[in-house]
Amino acid sequence: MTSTAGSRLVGADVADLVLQWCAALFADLDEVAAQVEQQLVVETPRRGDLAIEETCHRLLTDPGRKVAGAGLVLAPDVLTDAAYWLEWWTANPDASPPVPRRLAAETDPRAVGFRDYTHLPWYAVPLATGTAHITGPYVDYLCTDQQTLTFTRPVWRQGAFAGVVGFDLLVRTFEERMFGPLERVEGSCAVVNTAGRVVTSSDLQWVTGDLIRGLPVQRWWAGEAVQHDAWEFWPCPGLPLGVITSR
Amino acid sequence: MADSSLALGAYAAVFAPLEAEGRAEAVARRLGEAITLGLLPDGSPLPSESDLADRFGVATVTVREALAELREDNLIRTRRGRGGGSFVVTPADGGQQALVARLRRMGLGELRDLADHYTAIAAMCAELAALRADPDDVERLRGHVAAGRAYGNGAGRWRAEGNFHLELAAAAQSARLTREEMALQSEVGMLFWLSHAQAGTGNARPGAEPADRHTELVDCIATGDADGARRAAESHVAEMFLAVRTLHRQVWTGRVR
Repeated sequence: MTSTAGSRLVGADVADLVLQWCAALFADLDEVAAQVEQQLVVETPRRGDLAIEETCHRLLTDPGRKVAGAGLVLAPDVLTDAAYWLEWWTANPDASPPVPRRLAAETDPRAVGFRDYTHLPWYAVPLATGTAHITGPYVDYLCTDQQTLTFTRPVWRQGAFAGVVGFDLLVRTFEERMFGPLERVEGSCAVVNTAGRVVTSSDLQWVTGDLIRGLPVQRWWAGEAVQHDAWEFWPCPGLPLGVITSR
Repeated sequence: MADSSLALGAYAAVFAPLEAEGRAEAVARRLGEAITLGLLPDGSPLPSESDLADRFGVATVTVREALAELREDNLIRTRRGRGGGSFVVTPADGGQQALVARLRRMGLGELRDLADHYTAIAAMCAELAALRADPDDVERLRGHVAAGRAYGNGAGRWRAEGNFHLELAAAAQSARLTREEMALQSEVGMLFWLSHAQAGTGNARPGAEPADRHTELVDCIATGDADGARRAAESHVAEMFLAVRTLHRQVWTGRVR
């Protein structure tokens, strides 16, 4: 960071800040993924071979990270003793200290509470693209019960997709972190996802979760050089997040 | 707050921690209701005693007491040994008798109040979803409509109805409305299902096919028609409550026992 506190930022600076922060979170995820992949190397992996609880607890209780959930969700039939399997811990990131709790999720496909997670975007997108993804902002009624961003990346076994590891970040945490930088942008500034949904914004007309209408957000995302007389767009390279600023 | 007890919608509500006294009775009531409502299907395994104790936040001995009560009421059966455990036994009439008894205890005013509350939530969710749903949300909602249609007339039907409205609340991007929707569903879901089931016996007024109403609603959301979405949700909920009120009258006039 070259900017000093209080100095003006432009859209590109904000995009860079988002990128740096997300890169740090994904670096943590890489560590969890490496662990899981190591644990899946055995011939017939079983639930007991997985051991990421300690790592997830460490991440959830680190005051610098403020993640609200962490864990793994395996592809069907990767384990020999469970068709579907997920291990996920949640914590209130604003508690001091945060207390991780195991998410009570039904993984038996015959039971009523079972929900086939393979269709949910935080699983389906890394499966389809083979790369990391940020889902949201969305209301996560299965887990955090709040507006959430979910960071996931694939884990691999013998060259095949074996599931995802991920973090939940409350949108509130994102807002707290980006509030200062956004305020330092002259005029209005908003962080948006690929659907044009607002993650956080310094413009009073847009609130977290709103869809931005009337701006060529889709065409900006498609890389078209669309000029708008009031707004500019700055993608965060490699992330499904971007920044828009008023001219 | 990140709350792991709110794990999986209606299922999570069944297994949420308990506060009150008389814990064994409370556990038995919660599980008994879920079984008679068809929330836990016939033959499905209950979690182990220690798992249940964990989820409810009670001692294992309390769970054991509750299970004994359920066994006496023929709502579960227990097998020992390998592959053993407690399994759900759905009452022969699908629990309708228990639900009719509950409806009998409700006044018409209470019923109207519940309808007003639920309409307020469902209509607001629909309106906001029309403003805030992206194409992926619309796609997911359509998936729920298709799933609801596939349920046909089984007891899973009201769960499909509930899942659709839960997804609608999520598409509205409101955590509070989503929580409210979830809380209300445990009350309205069984009434919708009961009136539908009884309509088959000529006791209630058959309503429109919910999946058709859901399709109309999603079409409004897809085009960003907030007013249309609100109106579609209002008339959809009104229709379902009309069926409930019809049944309520039959119950009170003694035509349904």
